[in-house]
Amino acid sequence: MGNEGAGKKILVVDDKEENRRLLRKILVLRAYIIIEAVTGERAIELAQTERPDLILMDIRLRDGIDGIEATRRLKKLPSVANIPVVAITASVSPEDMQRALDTGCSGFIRKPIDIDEFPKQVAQYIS
Amino acid sequence: MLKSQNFKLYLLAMFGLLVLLPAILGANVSANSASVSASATVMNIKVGIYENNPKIFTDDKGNPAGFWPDIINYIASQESWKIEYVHGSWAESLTRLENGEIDVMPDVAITESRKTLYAFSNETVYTSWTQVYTRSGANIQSIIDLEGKKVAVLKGSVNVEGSDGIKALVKAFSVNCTFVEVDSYNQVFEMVKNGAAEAGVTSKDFGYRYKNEYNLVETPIIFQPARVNFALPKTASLTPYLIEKIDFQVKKLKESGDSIYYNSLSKWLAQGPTPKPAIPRWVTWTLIGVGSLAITFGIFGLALRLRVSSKTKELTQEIKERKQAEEAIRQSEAKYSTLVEQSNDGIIIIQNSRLVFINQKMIELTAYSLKETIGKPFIDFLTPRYKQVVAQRNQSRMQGEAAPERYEAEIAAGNGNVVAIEINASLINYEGQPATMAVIRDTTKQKEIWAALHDRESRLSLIYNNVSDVIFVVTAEPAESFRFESVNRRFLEATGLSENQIVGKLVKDVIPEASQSLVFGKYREAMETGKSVQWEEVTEYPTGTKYGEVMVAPIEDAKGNCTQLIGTLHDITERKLAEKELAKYQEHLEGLVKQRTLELENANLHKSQFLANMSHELRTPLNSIIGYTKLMLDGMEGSITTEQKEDLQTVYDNSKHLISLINDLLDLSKIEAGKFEIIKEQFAASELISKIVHGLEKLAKDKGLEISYAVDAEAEILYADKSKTKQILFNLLGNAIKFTQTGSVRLDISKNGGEFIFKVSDTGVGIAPQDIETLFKSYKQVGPARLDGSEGTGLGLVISKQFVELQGGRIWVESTLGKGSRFIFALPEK
Repeated sequence: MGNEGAGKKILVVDDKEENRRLLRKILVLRAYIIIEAVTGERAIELAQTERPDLILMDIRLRDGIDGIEATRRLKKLPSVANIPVVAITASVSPEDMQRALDTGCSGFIRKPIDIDEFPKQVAQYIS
Repeated sequence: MLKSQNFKLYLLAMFGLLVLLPAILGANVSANSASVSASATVMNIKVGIYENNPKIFTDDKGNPAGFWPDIINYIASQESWKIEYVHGSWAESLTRLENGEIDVMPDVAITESRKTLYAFSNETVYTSWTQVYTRSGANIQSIIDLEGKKVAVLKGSVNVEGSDGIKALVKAFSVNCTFVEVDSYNQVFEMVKNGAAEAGVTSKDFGYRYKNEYNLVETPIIFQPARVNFALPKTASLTPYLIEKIDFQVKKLKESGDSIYYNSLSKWLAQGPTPKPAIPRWVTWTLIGVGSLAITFGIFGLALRLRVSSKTKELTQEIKERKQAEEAIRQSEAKYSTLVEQSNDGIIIIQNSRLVFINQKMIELTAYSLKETIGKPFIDFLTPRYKQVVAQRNQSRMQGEAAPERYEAEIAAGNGNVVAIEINASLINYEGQPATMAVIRDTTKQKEIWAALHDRESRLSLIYNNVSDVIFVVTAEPAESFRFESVNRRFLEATGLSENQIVGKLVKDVIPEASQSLVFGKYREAMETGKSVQWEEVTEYPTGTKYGEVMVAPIEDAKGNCTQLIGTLHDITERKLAEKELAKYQEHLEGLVKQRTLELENANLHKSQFLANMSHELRTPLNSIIGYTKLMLDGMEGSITTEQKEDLQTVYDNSKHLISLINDLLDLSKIEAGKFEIIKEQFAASELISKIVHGLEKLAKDKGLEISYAVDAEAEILYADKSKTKQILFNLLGNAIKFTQTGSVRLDISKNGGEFIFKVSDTGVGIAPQDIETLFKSYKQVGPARLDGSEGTGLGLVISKQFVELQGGRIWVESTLGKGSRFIFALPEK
C-alpha cells in the first residue's frame, strides 16, 4: 500500500453508507483525506468549504438533486469549477456516461469497483 | 410543171384529211352513257328556224324542211315533245336564243366565243366546212391560186372573219387577194357568176345545193371545219334536260347506219352513210400524227410551191423534201405500230367473232401462240363463265344496241391460269368491214389487291365492332370543333344512344359539358403534336362514377395532313374502385403498423429501461459484496483463517461470475436492439493482446495452464472495432481457460486473403460434433461434455459471433472431443 494520497483531499458523494465506507477504507489506506456527503446539495456546500482535490460523485442519489445536477451546479461555481469530478455509478448505460461527461465530469468509474484498479484510477485524476 | 401539179393535189388531199379529223374526233369523244327515261307528258319545245337550204329552211308549203328539221322531228317523236318552230333570220334567232325566247337553236357551229354565250349539246350532229367556188374553167386549185384575185364573201360570217376563216387563211399563206363583201350566199354566187368576182366563199352545204343553179364549180379549197350542234340558252332550267335527251337521241341515231340521221344526211347534204360511231383512239391519234406531219410538210411544200412559181430549178429540192415527208410518215406509222406491239395492254381486233389482230401483250396473256389465236373465235379464250356473257354483249353491240364499252371477263390461258381482265371494246372499220377493237387489261393483280383489301377491311371491321373497348373516329372542323365520323358497336352499347344520335353530330353535343374542355384540349394536343395522347376521364352518372382510360391518335391522310382522330375508351371503373379499396386498406394497414411500431418501440424502450435499471440494481449490491469480500481476502480487515479465506474466495469468484453474467445479458439485449455501433480503427495487435493476456494470466496460472500468443508481422497493425475485438478475444480465451484442465491456451493472429485471422486454441475437453451447430445460438448451453465442473452462460459465444458479424467477419470452430478446440474468426482487412 502506497501513500500517494498524502495531503490530498477527496469528497465522496454517495447516498449509501456501505458504499462510502468501502471507498473510504480503500482510499484511507493510501493516505487520502476523505470527506463525505449523502446528498448533492451537501456536496456543493462541502466542495466550497473544504475545497477537495477530487470529487467522487455517485450519479443516482436518493434524496434531492442527482449527481449530474450536482456536478452541473459545481461547474457553475467559479470557486470550485476547476475541481475534477469523477462519476461513479452502477449504471452501464452509454447515455448516462455521456450525460456525465457532458455536464463536466472528468471521468467515469463503474460499480462494482475493482479494488485493485480503483486506487490507480483515482490517482490519475489528482494532479 | 406536171410534178408540181401532182404535189399540189397531194397537199390538198392532206388538207382535206385534216378537215375531216374533228368530225371523227367529235363522234368519238362524245360517247356518253345514255339514260333512258320515258316521258309521260308532252312538252312544248320552241325551236328557232332560219333560211339555210338545204340544212334548214321553209319549204314551198310553208313547212320546216331540211336536215335539221328531220333530226328535230325525230327526237321530238321519241321524247314526246311538241315542237313549235319560231321563224327568223340567223341574227334574230341567235338573239332569241340568248334571251331564252327559244329553247333550242339548231345548226350552230361551236366556237369559243359562242361557248360563252350559249350551251351546246355534246353529241356532234354534223360537221360543216367552207368551200371556195369559181366559174367553170377558172384554174383555181389551191389557196395560192387566189393571188391577185377578187373573192366574194358573206359579210361578217365566221368563215370570213373567224380565226380560221378565209382572211386568216390567205394571210397564213401570204396570198394577196381582194375581198368583196356581200349580204348573202346567193349574192356571193351571183357576183362570181357575172364576173364581179373570180371566186366566192360559201358553206359547202349551200354550194352543194346551188352551184349548178349559178353554173359554178367547187375548188379543192375546203377549210374551217366546224362541229355544228344544237345551241341552247345558257341559263334556262330546261337546258340540262334537253342536252341530255338530245345527246342520247343523236348518239343513238349516229350508231345505227340506216337511221334517219344518215338518210337525211344523204338526202340533203350529199353525205353518204359512213357512220363512224367509234374510231379507236389509237387510230385517231395515228391519223392526227400523220395529219400533223403532213400539214407541217404541206406548209413547207406550199412555201416551196411559191418559190417554184418563180424558180423551177429548185424542183430537185422539192422532191427531196417530199421524200423526207414520206419517210416521216413511214416512221410515224412504224412508231405507232411499235406502240401497239409494246403496249402494256392487250390489243385485239375481232371481225365476225374471230380474232384478226392480236398484239404481243395479248399473246402473253393468253399463253397461246399467234398461230393458235389468229382466226379463232375470241370467246374460245375465255373461261366458260364469261363465254356466254361476252358473246351476248358482242351480239347486242353488232345489232346497234347500247352495250357497255368496258366490262370484265376472264381468260382461260393456255398454261391453265385464269387471268382476270377488263375489256374496253369499241367498234371500228377494219379493212373496210365493221370490227370490234378491244383493249384488254390484266386485272389479276388489281383483283388480288382488292381482295386483300376487302379481307383486311372486313377483319378490321370485325375487330372494330367486337372489341370490348369503345372506339370512335372524329373529324376536326374549322372553328376547332369536332364531329363524330364513326363509332363502333361498343360505343353505342356504352352510351345507350343510336348511331344516328352520334354519327355526324358535333362531339360537344354528345359528351357531357363538364368534360368538354379536358377532352377538346387533348384532341388538339394530338392534332398539334401528331402523337397519341392518353388521359383518364371521370364521369358522374346517376348510377355512379365511371372511370375511363382514353387514348386518341391522329390519322394522317395521304398528304400527311391530320384532320381526323381515332380514339379508344377503356372502362377502368372496376380497376379504379379496386385501387381505391386497396388504397383505403393500405392506409388502414399503415395506421395499424404505425400504431404497432409505436407500441413495440415503447415496449422496447421499457425493456431497455428495465434492463438498465435492473443492471443498476444488481450491480449496486454486488459492488458491496465484491468490494468487502476483496477487502477481507486481501487481509485489510484483519487476519483470517485459511478456511475463512477459502470461503471468501468462493463468495468472491461467484460474485465475479454473476457480474459477468449481468454484463453478457446487457450486451445481448443491446445487440438485439441493434444498439451497437461499429467503429473501426487502426491499432497495434500486440498492445491489445498483451492487455488481454495479462488480464487472464492469473486465471490461467491458477489452473496451471500455459498461455501464449503470436502475431504475424503482417497482422501487427489491425483494422477493426477495437473494443468489440477485445471482448471477442476475452470471451474466447476466457472460455479456453475455463474448459481446459491441463495443457495450454494459445492465440495466433495472422493475415490471409484479405482477412485478419484470429485462432484461439486449447487442449481442453473439446466439443461433440452435434453440439457445434448450436454453439453460437442464443440461450443454448452446450450439453454434458462441457458440464465437467465448468460453468458458462453460453452467452459469450453468441455475443462474440454477433460482434464478428457486425464487423463483416465470420466465426467457426474446429474441435476434437477430448483433444481440444480451436475457435477461429476472420475479420475483413478493410
